[in-house]
This record gives sequence, structure tokens and C-alpha cells, in this order.
Amino acid sequence: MKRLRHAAGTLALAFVLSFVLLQAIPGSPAERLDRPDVPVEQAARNRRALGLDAPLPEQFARTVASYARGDLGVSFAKHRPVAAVLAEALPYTALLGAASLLLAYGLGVPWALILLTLDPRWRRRLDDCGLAVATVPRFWLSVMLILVFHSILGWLPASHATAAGVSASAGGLLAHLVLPALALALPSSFLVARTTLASIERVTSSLHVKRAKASGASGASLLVPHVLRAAAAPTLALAGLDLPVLASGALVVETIFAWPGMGRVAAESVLAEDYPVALASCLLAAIAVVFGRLASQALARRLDPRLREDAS
Amino acid sequence: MRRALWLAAWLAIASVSPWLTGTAEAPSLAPSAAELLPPGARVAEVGLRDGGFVRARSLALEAGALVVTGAAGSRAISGVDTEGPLRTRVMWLGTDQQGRDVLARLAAGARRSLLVAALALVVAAILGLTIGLAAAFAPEGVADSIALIVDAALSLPRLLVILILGVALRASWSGAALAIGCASWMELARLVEADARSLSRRPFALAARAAGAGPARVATAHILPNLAPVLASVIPAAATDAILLESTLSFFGVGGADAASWGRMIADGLRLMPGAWWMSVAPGVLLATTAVAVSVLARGGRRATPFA
Repeated sequence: MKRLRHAAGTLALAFVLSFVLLQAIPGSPAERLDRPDVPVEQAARNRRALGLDAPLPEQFARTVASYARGDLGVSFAKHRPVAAVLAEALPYTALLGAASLLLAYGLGVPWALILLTLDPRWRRRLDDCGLAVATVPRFWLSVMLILVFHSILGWLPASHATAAGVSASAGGLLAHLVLPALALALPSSFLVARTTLASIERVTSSLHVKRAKASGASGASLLVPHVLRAAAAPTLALAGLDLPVLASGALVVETIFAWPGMGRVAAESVLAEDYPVALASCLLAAIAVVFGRLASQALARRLDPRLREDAS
Repeated sequence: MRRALWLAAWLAIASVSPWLTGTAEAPSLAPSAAELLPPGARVAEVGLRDGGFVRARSLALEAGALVVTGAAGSRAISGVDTEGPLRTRVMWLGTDQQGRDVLARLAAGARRSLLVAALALVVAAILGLTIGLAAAFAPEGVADSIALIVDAALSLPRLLVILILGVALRASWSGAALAIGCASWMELARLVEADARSLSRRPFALAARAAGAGPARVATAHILPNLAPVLASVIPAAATDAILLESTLSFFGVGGADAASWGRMIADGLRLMPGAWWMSVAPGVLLATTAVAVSVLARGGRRATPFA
């Protein structure tokens, strides 16, 4: 309960912060209407229509009131309701996010298990290589993926979610999904592997595994119920904490691959000074982060009974 | 130690490289000689009277004026010193769409990247230290609200915030540095607060309080010097982030779009993708190696600092 209250406070404050932050953009939004080619009365009318003639606190109050009614305003650049713009983008981001998260764990955990079977010297070397890949900037990774798999090999499409002029099909969507999902997942998969490896190493030296070994468990019957379950908590906690990274990573990757998701909408709205869309996407991202954090805490408590005592 | 030496050598190369590769903005015969050249291409350059050089594909002397043929046709240049030096130069990493040497631009971009990252770090360190210390020594209500602000700031996507600030501060590389710094202080503030709290219960801090020092005096004179290990362990990791964020920002064309920067070069290369692969490969490799070098240093720093 206390956690929920804290989350609500965080969100409210994040909303205020993004409102203030967006006011700092010099071109937005009132100044944009004051172009020399727009007659003065017209500009004044535009301002009134958008509610920009009021002082800041009043504007803020009005924004909050309309958000409370469920009205997110109208996009300046696209001349459509913000809610519609976001609703269009949301499924694509959810798809990309889910795909990249699955891929990050699907690659990271087996990689950790492979490293585990190697001798320590090679393990460290390969782990260092993984660290190098994890530090590679995602936008460059995207460019290289496009270069190799689209420009040179011609295997996969490099932009948009569907081919131009072709109606959406599951296969086409999947083909478009591969490269952006890979660009997002590859760096995080190595972080997943590191965390998994570290917690497996910690767990295998702990008492309950020694006890299981002593009572005859070995191989998979030791690894899955005793080691992996105990090692899962920190790894899965990473998933929730990875949400902001994925959200901001998606900003770059979605823009490069022209993937019509939230990240691209957000980046475009900031660069085009489309203030209502930018505010709504800030808030939505903050919600994702806060709930991701809550969810990962809850998950960690489920998996690790020791954390439950602390919580009460 | 050896790693630190490697990094120092790297930085030294980055800072003197403009002299190794000629001027950063190599004069080209714009626009007619503006052309994309692959790595290893050889270009001819003719000396001008003012000591500069102009690039040419082929040369011919006609009626006292030098006719220089570039990619898009030929034109006569009167300022050329026909007795002057003629040289060929190899574009080891090719040129960009305006005929500029990629190697020279990489060098210029290295300085920019490191400068922006360093300045961003200073901004983040000042903000993080001030806010963290304030939270540790403020009464409980203030500390709670600072913690809430930190949480809220952390919940906004960092890149989006930097993009907004970068657009807002429009200016140039200093604006980019300020934007990155203003979006990177939160973790540091948290760590500083936690550390300062535990330090302020240690005997030396209590002794200072007992001797009559006020909270501000204890914070600045007694606690602050003891925060060095925290800073030492956080700063290098933050430096990696700052370098990557700078390149991301310039990739989006925010914060001094015309300057040579690695992110910008990668973006230019992406636009000409199938043809000009060399434009984005080289800056990306540099970016990745720099980031890895700094993060390796970060690991060394964490190991070397006691109590951290």
C-alpha cells in the first residue's frame, strides 16, 4: 500500500516535471504561432483556441483537468487527438518490447549456461567480449544490422512495420520485427547473461545447494529446481529495471527502423515541438517505468521468500 | 595500470590527431569536387597562394589558369599557384558526401565527444553532490521530497529528457553537455545521500558537530572529502554513458548539428546506406572502443578505491 502511494506520488511529480521541462522548449508552443506570416488577430485567436494565452499555472490546471477527463488534447503537428496517435503506436511498441525482452532472455540465459560449462579463464574472456557488445551504442548496432542483413544480404526489411502497398500479414510483420528486436535485445542479453552468471555462481556456493548435492541431486535435477530458481530473482528484477532502458532504447531504434511505435512518436514529437504528444508520451513512459519497478519488486518477493519478511 | 596507460595513449592520439591528419575541415573544391570516395582513395591536391590546398580529380593548365576537374565538371581556379606544390593524399577512411576526409572528421569528433562527455560529467557531479548532500543533511520532510523528486526524475525516460533539453538549449556542444548533465545526476545523488548519511554518524563527523560546526560546515569540510570513493566508482561508468548519450544526441541532429561528431557521421552514413558504408562503420567502431575503454577503466577504478 505504501509502495502504491509512493508510486502515485512519483507519477504525479513526473507529470509536473515533464510539463515544466516541455515549457523550456523555446519554439513551443506559443512562439510557433507568432510567425511573421500569420496575422496578429489570427495568432491571438489560435492562442485562445489552444488555451495558450493563460498564465502557466492556469494552463497546467487546465491540462490536469482535461487529463482527468481522459482527454489528452490534440496533436499540433498531426491535427488528430493525442489519444488516437498513441493508441495507434502502443501495440507496435508492446510487440517490439515483448519480442526484444523474450529475445534478451532467450539469448542471455542459454549464453550464461554455456559460459558456466567453460573453464573460468575462457568464461572471463567471453564475458569480457559480451561486455564489449553490451556497451556498443544501440543506434550503431542498428545501422550495422541494416548494413549486413538488409543492404548486403538482402534477407530482411529495414524499415516500417509493413511493406509499402502490401496489406499487413503476420509473416511480413515478423520479418520487419526481427532487426529492431535484435538491435534492442542484443546488448541487454549480455547484461542478462552477466547477472544470471553472477547469481548462479553465488547460489552454487550456498548451503541449500550443497545440501541438495549431498542428498544426491545432480545435473538437471540440481540445476533447475535448486539453482535456477534461486538465481532467477536478480535476473528477473533486471527485466523490470530494464523497462526504462528499453523505452529509451526504443526511442533510437524505432526511429532508425521507422517502426511506428511510441518511441518514434515521442522522438518525433520532441523534434517537431509537438507539445501535447510529447507530454502524453512522457507520462506514459513514466507509468511504464514505475509499474515495471513495482512488478519486478513483486516478482522478486514471490521468487525469494526472504524478501517477503522485509516487506511486511 | 596498463589499462590506464592505454586509455591515456588513446586520449593523447585523439587530441593530437588533427595535426596528424591535416585540418579537420579539409578544404575541398565545393561543390564540384564534393564527392564520396571509398577508403584508400587517392586524391590530388594543388597548393593555393595562401598556403592552403584544393582537391582535384584531374588538372590541366589552360591559358594561365589551372582547370581543376572535380566530380561534377571542371572549373578554372585563378588563385592557384601554378608553380606551387602539388601533392597526392590518401583518404584512408574515404570521404563523406561533401568530400571531407572521414579520418580528419573522426579526429575532430573525438575531441567533441570527450569534451562534451567531460563537461556533462562535471554538471552531473555538481548537481548530484549538491542535491545528495542537501538531502542527507536536510530535515526529514525536505529529504523525503527530494527522494520523491529523484524518483520522479528517474521515471522519465532519460533519452527523451535529454532530447527535450537538447532541443530547448538548441545552442551547440555546450548545450548538449548541459542537457546530458542535467539528466544524469539522479543515481549519483542517491548514492551520495546514502553515503553522507552513514558518514555523518561516524565519530569524526559527530566530533565536528560537538566542536560547534554547523551542518553546512560538516557537510562541506568533513563529509565531502570522504565522498571521493563514491565519486571515483560512479564517474567512469557515467562517463561511458555520457559519451554514448552525446553520440545519440548528435545522431538525432540535436546540439550543434554542423559540427563533426561521431553520432552525426553515423547518421549521415545511414542516409547513404547501401553505397557509403565506410561513413558509419569507422565512427561506430571508435565509439564502441572508447566506451569499452572507459568502462574497463571504470572496473579498474572500482577495484582500486577502498571502501567503495
